Amino acid sequence: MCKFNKLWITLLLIFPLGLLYSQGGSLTGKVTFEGEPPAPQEVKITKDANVCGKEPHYDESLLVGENKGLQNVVVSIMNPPKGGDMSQLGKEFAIHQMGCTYTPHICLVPVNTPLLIYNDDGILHNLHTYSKKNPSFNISQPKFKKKVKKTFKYPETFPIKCDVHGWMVGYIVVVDHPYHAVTNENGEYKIEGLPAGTYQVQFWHEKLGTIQKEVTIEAGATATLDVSMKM
Amino acid sequence: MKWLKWIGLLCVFFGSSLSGQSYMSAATDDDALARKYAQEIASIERGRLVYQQACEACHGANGDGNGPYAEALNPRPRDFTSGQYKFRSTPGGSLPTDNDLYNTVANGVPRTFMPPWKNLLSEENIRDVVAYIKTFSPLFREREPETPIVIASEPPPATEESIFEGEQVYKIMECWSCHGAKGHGDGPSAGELEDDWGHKIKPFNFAIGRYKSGEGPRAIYKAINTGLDGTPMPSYREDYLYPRDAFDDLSNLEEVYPQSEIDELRQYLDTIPTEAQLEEMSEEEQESLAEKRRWALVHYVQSLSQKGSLLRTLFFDNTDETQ
Repeated sequence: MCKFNKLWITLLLIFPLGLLYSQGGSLTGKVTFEGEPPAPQEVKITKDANVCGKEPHYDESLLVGENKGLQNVVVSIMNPPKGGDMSQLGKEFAIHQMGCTYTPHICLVPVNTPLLIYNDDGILHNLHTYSKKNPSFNISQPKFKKKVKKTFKYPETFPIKCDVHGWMVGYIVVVDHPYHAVTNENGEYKIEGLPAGTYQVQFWHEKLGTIQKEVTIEAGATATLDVSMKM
Repeated sequence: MKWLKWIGLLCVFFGSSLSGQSYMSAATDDDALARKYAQEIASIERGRLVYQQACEACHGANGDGNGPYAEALNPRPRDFTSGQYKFRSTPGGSLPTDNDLYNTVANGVPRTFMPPWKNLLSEENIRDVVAYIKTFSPLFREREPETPIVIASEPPPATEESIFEGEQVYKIMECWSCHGAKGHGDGPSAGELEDDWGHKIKPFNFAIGRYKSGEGPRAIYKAINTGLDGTPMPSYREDYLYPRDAFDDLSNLEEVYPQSEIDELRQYLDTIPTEAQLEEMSEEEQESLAEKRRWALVHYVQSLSQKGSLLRTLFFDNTDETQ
């Protein structure tokens, strides 16, 4: 009987800890642009003006928002814990070609998972990727072809371009674990479900390159990691 | 060249196993494999000697397309380290087959500085240099080329109807975006095109004829349907089953076509199957429709060449020198 009681007390003690662990911690923060951000560059629409030119286009390779928040930075845990639920990245992965831009500009997609590429514009686009580990492709998507489905086997970040509309550039980030995020228009990001531990965090921006930081996350807590990137 | 060394070691190992009496009982499969490797090594080694004499000045000692003469050449020599090749029989994004590389080396590339080497090198020389060129890109060790696309050995003959249909396919696929309404390489997107290395590249002016990928309808078919990897030219192979009801809005054609040409397209669209009708078709019927449209586009593109009049295209120009 006495032995049984002890077991219960131990279990009761362990349970909340276990709960905390299973809840995991989070990493959040803000990426800012260091220095004076350059003025947004307007892109000249040279083709399909009535479809592409409804709204002005700006060079998307460097988007700095309010309070110098840097958009489209890919934040990745470089020493991810094992397991991890891929569905926390989303259920459907899609890029829309709408108004002759890629939305989202940076698209995370898990390995071996269909990526749907939609042509909402109803004009010819071509999908030209510059991958190295995954076979690259350059296929047409004429006006009547609404949807193209592609899967990627290896984790890799690479550009996708449209040659018909030369200003159209986006990035596909193929990932093999869920601990990634892309900063929003204010430069903010959040990665959830991280067990307690010390992590190497990589910040990658298409124009500003890569920086790495270390962060320690406690069980159930949210750690904050703000960084700045410069030219 | 680490790879070469590694294979070399392997070769010595297998080689010794071949000659050693104590290994005589080894499975014949291993022997065959060993002989194959030994032959490959020998071929690569011979190929290197050919390459140093014939290719290096343009394509560079490292195969990166940056040889001493490269700067002066336009288009620039191919960068073999990327594993990307324009002239393939395989689908877009795939490696070329050995035969594809052989054909390019043997026949050369018209309108460039790449001469037809079959006049100067033996067949074995070319096979060897192909084996050597493949060592520049790791992709040839990681992947196999995909199965070549099927191209009818006897293409359907061009007719007035097929050329007309091809012209409508050309409008629908928006080939004119780059190649222009008359195929002169002056479409609205023509000015800003770059290849995968960031070098300026122009869409082909079909009036010139003399295709880089070879002469004749089969070569044109191949280029359109495999795409020219490393350039802005995509593969169009999967795009031919368009239904009538997908074209409510043709206003984007007004950018380059007069209204009469758009009306002509509208008339054509009224004759083609709707989406529901397409779905009722068997797979064979669908494929035969797609194939008819693929050749129609080839016939139209071919008819744009000024070296031949319509008459010539219809009656004389169906020869295929690439084969």
